[in-house]
Amino acid sequence: MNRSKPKNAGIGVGYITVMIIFAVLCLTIFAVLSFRAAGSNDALNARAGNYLKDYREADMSAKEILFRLDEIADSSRNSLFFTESFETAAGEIEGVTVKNSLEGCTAEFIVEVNERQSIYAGVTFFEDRREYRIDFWKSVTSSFDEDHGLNVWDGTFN
Amino acid sequence: MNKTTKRPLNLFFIEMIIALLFFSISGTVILTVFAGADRKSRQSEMLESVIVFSESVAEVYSENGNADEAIKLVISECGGLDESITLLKYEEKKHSLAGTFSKLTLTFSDGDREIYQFTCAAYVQNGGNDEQI
Repeated sequence: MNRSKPKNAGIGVGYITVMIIFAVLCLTIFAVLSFRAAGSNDALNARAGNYLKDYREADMSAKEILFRLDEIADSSRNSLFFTESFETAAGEIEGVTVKNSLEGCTAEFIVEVNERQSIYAGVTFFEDRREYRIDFWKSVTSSFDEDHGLNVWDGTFN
Repeated sequence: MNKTTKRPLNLFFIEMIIALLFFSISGTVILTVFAGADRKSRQSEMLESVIVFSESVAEVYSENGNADEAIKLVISECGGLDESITLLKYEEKKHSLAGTFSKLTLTFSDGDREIYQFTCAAYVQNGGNDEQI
């Protein structure tokens, strides 16, 4: 009778091993997944942080150009010919182009944020008053040009 | 008779000991990975809040060129940072007859570890159109 009904018939040899392997496998998968999720979130935040740094760096350069242009405009107002004086002095700053307008001079400049994006600004300096007007101060992408649009298939076969 | 009944029980205990040993070793490794993920997640959360704070400060600062006012306004409007985060600020100003160009560098650190550092700038015209930038 004893031989036909062993005492530990409930849990056989090997059952615990299988259960432990299953539990360890599950825990390993969860641990790896959570680690990867945290890692990718961290990488995303680091990229956002780097972008903010780059953007503010470019914005700072653009504002420094504005500061120099305003200084030039201020000193040019004291000279006899505002437009000529401003054009000559502002043209020496790298990346600045000057256009004449009825109100005064409009200076346009581009400062690179990264390889894909730049800050594009246009500021008008008035001849008759110590003020300037920011016509635009925007970030533009170098790959997309509003005049040309996206390069998509037009539906014709050549 | 006794020997034959003891064998499966011994095997069961040996298996259990080996399984528990394996589980404890694996558990240690897995717990380390979990702890690492948790630490990384906390750091990432901290960095995210610091980035949002920095962005807000930079926006306000570019309007008024006053670091203290900008930080105060952001704290009052959006809430402060975590208590463990230390904020260091360094301001540099260039004056001219036309206006004032100022640079603000903010450094956020958690103990000895530097979390984030960035620089923003402001240009305020003297007695002119401050609001334009």
